[in-house]
Amino acid sequence: MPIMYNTGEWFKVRPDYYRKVELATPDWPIDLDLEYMLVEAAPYGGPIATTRDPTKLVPVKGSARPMIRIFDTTGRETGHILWNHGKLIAMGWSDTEELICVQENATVFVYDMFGHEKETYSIGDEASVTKIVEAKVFQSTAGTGVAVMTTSGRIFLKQNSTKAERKLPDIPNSSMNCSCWDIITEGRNSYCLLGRDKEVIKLFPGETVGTITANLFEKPHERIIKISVSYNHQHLALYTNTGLLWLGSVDMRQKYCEFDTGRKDMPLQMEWIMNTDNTEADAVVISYPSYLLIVNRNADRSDFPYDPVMFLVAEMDGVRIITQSSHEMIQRLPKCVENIFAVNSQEPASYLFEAQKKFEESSYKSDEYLSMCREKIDLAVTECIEAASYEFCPETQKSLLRTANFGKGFIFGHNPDEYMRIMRILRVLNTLRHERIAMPLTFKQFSHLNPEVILSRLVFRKHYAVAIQVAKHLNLPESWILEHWAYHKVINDPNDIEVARKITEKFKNPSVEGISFCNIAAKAHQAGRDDLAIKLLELEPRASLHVPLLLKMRKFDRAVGSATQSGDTELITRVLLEMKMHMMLSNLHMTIRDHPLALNMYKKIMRESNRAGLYGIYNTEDDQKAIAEYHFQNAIESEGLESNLSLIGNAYAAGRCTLEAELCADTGRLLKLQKTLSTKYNASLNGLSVHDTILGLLQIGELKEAERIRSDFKVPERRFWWLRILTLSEHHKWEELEKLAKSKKSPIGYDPFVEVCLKQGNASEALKYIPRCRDNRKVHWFIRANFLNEAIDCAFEQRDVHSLYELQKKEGVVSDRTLLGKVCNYISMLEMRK
Amino acid sequence: MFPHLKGHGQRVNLQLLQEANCRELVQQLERIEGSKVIVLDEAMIGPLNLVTRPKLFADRGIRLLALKPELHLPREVTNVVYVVRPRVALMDQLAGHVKAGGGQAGRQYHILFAPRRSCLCISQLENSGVLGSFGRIAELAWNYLPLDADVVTMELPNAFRDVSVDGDTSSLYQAAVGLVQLQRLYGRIPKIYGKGEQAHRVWEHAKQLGRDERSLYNGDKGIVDQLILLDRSIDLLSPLATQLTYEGLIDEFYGIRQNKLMLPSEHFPSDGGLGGGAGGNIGNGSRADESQSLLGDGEMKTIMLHSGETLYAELRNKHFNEVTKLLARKAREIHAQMHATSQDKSVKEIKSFVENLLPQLMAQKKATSEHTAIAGLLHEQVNAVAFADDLAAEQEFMVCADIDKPSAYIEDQIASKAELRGVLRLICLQCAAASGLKEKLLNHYKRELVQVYGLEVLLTISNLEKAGLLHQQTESRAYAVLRKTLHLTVDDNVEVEPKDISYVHSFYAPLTARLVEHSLKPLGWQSLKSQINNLPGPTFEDFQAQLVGIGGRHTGATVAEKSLLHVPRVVLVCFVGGCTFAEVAALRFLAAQEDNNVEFLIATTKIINKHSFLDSLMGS
Repeated sequence: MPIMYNTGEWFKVRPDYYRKVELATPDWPIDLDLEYMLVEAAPYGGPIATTRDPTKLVPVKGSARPMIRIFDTTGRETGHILWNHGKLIAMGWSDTEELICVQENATVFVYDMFGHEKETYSIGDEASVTKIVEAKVFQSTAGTGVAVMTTSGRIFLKQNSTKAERKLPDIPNSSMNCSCWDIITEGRNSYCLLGRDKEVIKLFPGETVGTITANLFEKPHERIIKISVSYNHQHLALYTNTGLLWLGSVDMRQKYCEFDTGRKDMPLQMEWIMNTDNTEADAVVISYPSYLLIVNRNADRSDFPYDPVMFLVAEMDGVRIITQSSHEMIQRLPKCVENIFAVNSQEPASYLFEAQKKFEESSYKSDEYLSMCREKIDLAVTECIEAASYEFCPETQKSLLRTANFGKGFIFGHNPDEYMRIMRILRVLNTLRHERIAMPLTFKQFSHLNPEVILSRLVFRKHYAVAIQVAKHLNLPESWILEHWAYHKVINDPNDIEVARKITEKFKNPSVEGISFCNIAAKAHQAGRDDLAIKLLELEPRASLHVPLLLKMRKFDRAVGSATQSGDTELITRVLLEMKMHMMLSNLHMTIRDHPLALNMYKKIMRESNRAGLYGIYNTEDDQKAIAEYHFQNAIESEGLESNLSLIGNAYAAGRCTLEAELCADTGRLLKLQKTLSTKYNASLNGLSVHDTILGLLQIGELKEAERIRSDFKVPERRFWWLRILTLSEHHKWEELEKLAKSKKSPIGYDPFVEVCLKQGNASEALKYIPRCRDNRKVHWFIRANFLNEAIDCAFEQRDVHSLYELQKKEGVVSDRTLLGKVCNYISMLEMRK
Repeated sequence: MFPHLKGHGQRVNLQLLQEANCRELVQQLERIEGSKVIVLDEAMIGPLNLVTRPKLFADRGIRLLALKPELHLPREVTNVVYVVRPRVALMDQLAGHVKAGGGQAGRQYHILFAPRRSCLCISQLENSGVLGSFGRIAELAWNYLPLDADVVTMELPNAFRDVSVDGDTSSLYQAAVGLVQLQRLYGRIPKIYGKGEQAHRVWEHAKQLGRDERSLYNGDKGIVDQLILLDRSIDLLSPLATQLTYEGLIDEFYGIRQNKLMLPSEHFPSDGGLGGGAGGNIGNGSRADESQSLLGDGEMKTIMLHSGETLYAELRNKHFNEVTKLLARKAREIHAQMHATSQDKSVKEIKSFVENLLPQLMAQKKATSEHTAIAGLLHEQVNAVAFADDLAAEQEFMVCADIDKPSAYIEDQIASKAELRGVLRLICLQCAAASGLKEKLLNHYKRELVQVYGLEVLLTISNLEKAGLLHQQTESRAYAVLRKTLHLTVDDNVEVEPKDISYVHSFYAPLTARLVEHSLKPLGWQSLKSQINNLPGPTFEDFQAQLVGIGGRHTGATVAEKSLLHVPRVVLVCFVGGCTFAEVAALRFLAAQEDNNVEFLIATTKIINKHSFLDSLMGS
């Protein structure tokens, strides 16, 4: 197979291949010389923090104050921190890309990647008093923790900024002479491994004293000087002053190998290289000045001359090496890549790759190659796709994907999802690796972090446009990115109108979903820009979202306005309750009077909680009728109608309800009259209506008084007659009733006479009045009085066939043969005449 | 679980709505851990009955209690869940319970507000100092609840009053929320027509709320083709008029509450005497099971009245005069079928008869006997003199006879101090028919009422005035004009096997139903627009188009859909402020006409009748 595609960068550490991949070359500022610097780089291609190494002698330039400078992987400075605290002991990066700096007095300062201070906390008083000599930033299950070693040799660790610090157990025997240490996280616990002379001491929190493991090495040495744990906290590497290297499991029960490097100089750093295609680690990389050594479990080695200064960054699938002039990654060669590109590979993927190339060259050999991998073509395609995901060079990616595309044509019913997915992600990765973004991520890291996290990192770096494109490309929600962009604008752009305009312009795009102006307005409010906040709120159509913020800003007028407009009564109520708490009552009334719905809701609230409050509103509104009714209601409830009548009447009058006012006056008059009448006739008439008063008088036979009231209160003649006949009939005064009927023409006709008689069950009395009833009602009354014969005659007289038919069905008629005959006869006669 | 909600061949399946509502409750309950007891506001018993079965609670070991000031909560229960309407007055009871049960360690209280969480209630609890005892305070967004296969109701009896008298438009907002919820379930409604101010408001709110629901506009249109929003205030005559359909009459005399009729059991032949065979027992079993209310009582007999009951479904919308005839025929049929079998038949045939047909027949027989009993009761009521006189007076107004003069009948009623509600009904009817009373006449009535019923009546009148039921005459004589142009009253009325919707009130067609009928015609709404200008409130129409070009991909199903011309249109008629059974019957009558090729879904704030309508307005 061909020697191409960067196979030149491969090297063998038996039995595996490793490779060095060149990442974008950093372009450090001229005044930065890594040789004199302490460098801490965040994993996942994160930012790099540098500060002057105080142990090295440097020609002093510029300010004497120490400064921490933060760069991205291409050497562009993103921020700096002027360190004006105490002595800086250590730095490190958290999993959320925050720079953690530990000071001598055990105070921890946390900065974001732009050098803005975010928080500070302390690792306990004891550590603070005794001062610390060393510190380590480590990843725990609870986040990023900090461990410190004090001058007295005690170790404290804090799993994250919120958890309480823990003091690790005493170091057995002497706490002096500890040469190296590291923190290991195992399950929910983090513990410390400490190298002292020839022993390794394990300090597990909660135990009283550390446990010592000795005699790990076979060959002679004096002390362990370096200790290194793999990225996944599974493997341990120890290095002695005699250049011996010990590789084994982290519990030290298993020893992979012991290797003599044969070097006498001090190593700079030692890191495990995590495998690319699984979660194991087979080799460590050790850096010396100008020299790099790679040793694996099989005690095989490979070495390279290198720049004088280099910094190793352990990643989840390799180790990055940062030097003054280069940025590289060492990783174990993925099997699939090896299968395709290895010299003399016999794997199907390799044949397929060749077949595709020949195919492009229009060579017949394509078919030959193809036939060699035909059986396992799906495996070949899968491997090509997978291999593409490991590649950094777009050209290589392309040719691999082209091969996969070529190969999948030979597979029936191939599911292209994976192919599509990888292609999409690769496009994103290539963008991220571009020096403008400077986030050199591997495919595995990308998958591990989640696209969401990557997007938020992009957003944090203010790469909004790229973030949106990436989100679009990966079919992820993008609105929130825009929202962050808007936050950024709100906080950094001082021109209100311009900001509002820019934001609306972007948000108008209909593909922007579920985005709220309110969140941005809230940010503006937080930033003390209420004017801008209001401008933004005006753009938010949903009142339920923007009203709460308006309330927070005490813009009650606007809040009431938009709540009313939304029609959401609950929202209006909320606004009103809030206003009641913060406003003068009179102001409140004035504010809500322009909003009828709010006013109504306010009245409703008052009606339920504080009726007296209603009066104030009605007064403001000058709603006299409502005031009248308010007094009226109160009067009824307190049973003091009489004393309040004038009040009610006056209000009615003022409200131009003349009739109501008049009726109130009448009632007042009546009540007075009732008192005198009640005592006069020893009857209880108090509080009755005009009608009932007359009725009461009639019932005790006081016709004269009744007449007087009738005329006093202009009771219509008709109703007075009704009352008379009702009382007369109820008292069975049939003669008087008859007298009344004859006294003059009844204003109510004679039907009521019949009705009252029937009501008292006196049909014969009723019969007297039926002839005087209206013609069309006569049959009706006859039937009701059960004078069927008369009814039939009457109906016939009036040629009322309908009633005759009704009568025909009547039980009384049906059972009486003569009546039935008569009805039938009449019906036929009338029908004939038609 | 609710078979009656899935109508025969109805395109809109309201079981979906029932399930959605039920699921919401269950989810809320599941969020509360531990044993629970539910305490129900009286106003929530009905809504709960509409979407849940007692089994749901029994399965979860949840007891239901009615909300009372004095409440004895079971000792061992750790969670008390109140399901209440957001009424401030209720909160004092809750506070009372919490204070009384203070000793119970570890007991948690929760509130589910339906349909809306109320900050006023919460602040009331806070003022009583018990808010801390409440764990979850959530809302149960029950707006429209399925009543029948074609009716959804909000069960807000005071909706019209709240809006028109007190100016509290909560119900309008909730109706709008409900419309959005319905669209979420049944899809976007493309066309909207409406009349009346409150109806317009409902639509404006619904549109505003729907604006954020992008998903609504992305897809094709839903099942519902059209929405017609009608404001109660455009037709105040119909709710006051006496309904003459079977269902309407039952409701007016005895009140149908959430498909349930409660009558003293003495009016019905005992089940034992009727059942006889095994089939009867089966029928009884299921019936008893079904009619068991969530918080039932024993003395009364409960009869289910909904479209799941075959016989009732047939009778409910008929004019009462037709019902008696139908019942008689039914009885004869059953009799014939029962006896036809006694003649010579093979054993096999008899066996199949006993197994298959007999239980059905027994059930039919039982239903027939029940409805005969109900019809008998109604017959007595309808034949009472007062009813006939009232009806006669009412019908005089409907045809605008002597409409501007004081009615002698009303005066006589006042003079004999008849029930105030009935008198006010007639006055309001006259006012509605005359499109307002002359000032002199109105004052005359007011004076008469005050002189007879006392000064307090002024407050009631004031409510009616605010609600627009009593007012002075205006220029336009809307009713008189529309009576002619829209044939609201017909001369050749037919009550049995009618040809026109006017049968529901013997000869008067409810304006609302007539409007819907006209809108069904080609260009119906356009020609209607000019005619109903004299009715109060705006006439509006709207169109909810599909959002094009965003996410929504055309499926091509629309083309196929259009070719199915015979599929009936579905029209959602939304009554803002309540509707009567007569109006429902009229719409069902329209849907039954094949020419119309339409199916209605009726949404209302509450099913009302002349009594309940006035009652809601008369209270203070």
